[in-house]
Formats: sequence, C-alpha cells, structure tokens
Amino acid sequence: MLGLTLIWQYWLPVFLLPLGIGLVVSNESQRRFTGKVLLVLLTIAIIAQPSPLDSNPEGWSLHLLISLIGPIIAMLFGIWFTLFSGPIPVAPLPRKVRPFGFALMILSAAWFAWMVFEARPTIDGVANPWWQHFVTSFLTAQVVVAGFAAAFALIMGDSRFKEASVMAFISIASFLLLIYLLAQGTNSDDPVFWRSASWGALGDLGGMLFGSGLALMIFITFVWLGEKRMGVPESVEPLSEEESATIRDIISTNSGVDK
Amino acid sequence: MKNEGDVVRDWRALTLVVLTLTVLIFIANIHLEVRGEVEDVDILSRFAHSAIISFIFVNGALFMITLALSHKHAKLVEQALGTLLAAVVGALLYGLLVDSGMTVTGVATDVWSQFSIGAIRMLTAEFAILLSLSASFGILLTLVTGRETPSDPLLELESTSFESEEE
Repeated sequence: MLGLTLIWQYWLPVFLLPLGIGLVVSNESQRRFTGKVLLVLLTIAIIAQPSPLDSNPEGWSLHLLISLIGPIIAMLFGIWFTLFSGPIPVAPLPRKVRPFGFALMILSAAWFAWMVFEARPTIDGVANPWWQHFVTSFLTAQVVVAGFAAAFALIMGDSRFKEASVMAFISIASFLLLIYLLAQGTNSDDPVFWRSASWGALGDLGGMLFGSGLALMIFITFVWLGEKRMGVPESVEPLSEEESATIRDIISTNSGVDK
Repeated sequence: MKNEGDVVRDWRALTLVVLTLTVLIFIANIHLEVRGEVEDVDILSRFAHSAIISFIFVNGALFMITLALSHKHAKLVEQALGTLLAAVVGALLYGLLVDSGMTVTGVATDVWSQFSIGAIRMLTAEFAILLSLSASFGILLTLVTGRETPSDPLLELESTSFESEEE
C-alpha cells in the first residue's frame, strides 16, 4: 500500500516534472496553461502524501528540501535585492537596499554553517539520512563551480580582479570546510561518516557527469539524424499581385510614406 | 576583439582550472581516507549505478520535453523515439547490472530498492549542484553589475534641427 502511494505521490510527479516544465516554456498559451495546471497538480500530489516523512527514504528527501527552505530563500532574496539595487537601469530598487541584500546572503551562509555544525535536520531525534550526502555534494560542487566562476571573471572579464578574488575566496572556503568535515567531523557525526559520504558522493557525481554526458551526446545524434532526413526545402513561389499590394499597403501604413 | 585562437586558449585555461580542482578534491579525499577509517563504500558500483540512472533520467526528461514542445510542423519522430528507446535500454541495462550482483552496499538487493535509493541519491546531488550553480553565479552577477561606469557621452548630446541648418 505504501509502495503504491509512493509511486503515485512521489515517483510519478518526479517523472512528469520535465513534461510540466516543457509545457510551461512552450509558445502556445493553451499549452502554457496546461503546464501550469500540471505543475500545480504535481505539487499538490507530493504535499498530500499521507505517510509520515520519516517512514521512508522518499519522505526523508522531502524533509531535506523543507529543512533547507530558510537558507535558500535568504540567498535568493539577498541576490535579488543586491542585484536590483546596484547601478543597473532595469527595474532599479533604492540604493540603500544593497547592504541589506549582502546581509541576507551572509545570513544564508551562516544559517547553512549552523545547520552543518550544530543543527543537523532531524525528526523526533532521528537524523536525516540524506544530509551528509547533500552537504558533501554541495561543497564539492561549490569548490568547482566557484573556482570556475573566479577563473571565468579573470580570463573573460575586463579588470575583474576584485570579483575573481571573492569567487576564489568562496571556492577555497568551501574546500577548507569540506576538508575540516572529513578530518574532524561535527558534534553529531564522526569524521568516518563524513569521509564515507564524501567518497560516495564523488562516485555519484562522476557517474552523473558520465551518464548525463552520454545521454546528451546520443540526443544530439538523434537531432542530427532528424535534420539530415528532412531534405532540402522546396523553392518558394514569387508573390502574386494581390500579395504584393497587401504588403505595399502595410509598409505605407507603418512608414507613413505614400505608395 | 578576440580572435578564434584566443577564445580556444581561454576555454582551455578554464577547463584546466576545473580539472585541477576536481583532481585536488580527489587527492584530498584519498589522503584523508588513507589517514583515517572509512566505511565500506564501493565507489565503482556507485559510479556505475549513478551513470546508468542519470542516463535513464536525462533521456526520460528529454523525451518528456520533446513531447511537450512538439507541434505539427516539427519532425520530432526520431528525437522522441530515440530518447524513449535509449531510456528503455538504460533501464534494461540497469536490471542486468543489479541481477549480475553489482549492487550498492547498505540497500536491499532487489532492482527497485537499488534503483529508488540510487535515484534519490542522484536527485539530492542534482539539487546540491543546482544550488551551488545558482549561489555562485548569482553572487558573481551581483558583483559584476555593481561596478559604476561613466555614462555614455553620446547620451548627453542634444539633437539638432536639420531644418534650421538648411536655412
């Protein structure tokens, strides 16, 4: 019974999520509407799951997501306030909001660090089993992505030393934090568990890179085959007198020049 | 303006940075694993499971997106059939892998348990990657757009009346 509930209210929404996103980004308004309805229904299906979150691994993964809502929202609002209160001409916010945006970003980082060292997500004293996997994957990805961003700002940008330094600092800080966890652990977890989680996460991340890359290469091959089979398009007939007259009318109406 | 050779050189440098960081993380992990105790993690099984599950998921997602974006003028049969078939082949391959005994430790050895736990693990890692990408590039964007630049002098010029000049 629980297995069936999980299939309908966890796995099916996960599998249908790309369909909903694809429909939402479509050009036709009817499809966009269908996509939005589908996404709302999928969200309701997941939220309405009757089993307690600590009764199965799927529930624990949702618990992880819920636990991280605070730092994520702080980071998103921080980026939004800082970005739009800077010297940009698009939808500017008041300048005095900018320090508040930076403060929210720092709050997000501090909140995350507090969760890592002092407050591992739990339900009734039982720790979330996906936590260490998430933290080690996040820190590993952060080292690489922030390092890439630093090098990108330096190589591609014009005198972007300050920006590159900040990104390099984030990359190095993430690396040191990861090493600290592997060597010393936290109050709630021995370093042995962190080392095992990090080692496993490396295997997972490497496999994901390989499997996703292979799938994308195969997809590109299918697109190429489809394009190759389409053949040369037929030549277009010249405009008729009637069509030419219509176009002349439109041009003269818009340009204000007499035909 | 950069020519093609410069662009290739720049991207090569960026790739080198990413590779160096990845190798550094591996070395740090290996060093600490050798130094201290570690639970039995079969990294090769994790790699194989994760690769096949990712393959199934990416093909499945591309199939769904192809269906969502198809319209009467698009010839997407090859694309839709190809991605669906690739996902099915991936699923069969995964079943064979688990049946052959290459399973991830700490999980029941039936195919569904192995798949579901592997898939959740992968979704968690994807969520972590998405967060790190959003945070890093969001911060970079706020920093890059924060620079004050002098306004374009052309904007301060006033338009001239051509009629008065003709006079």
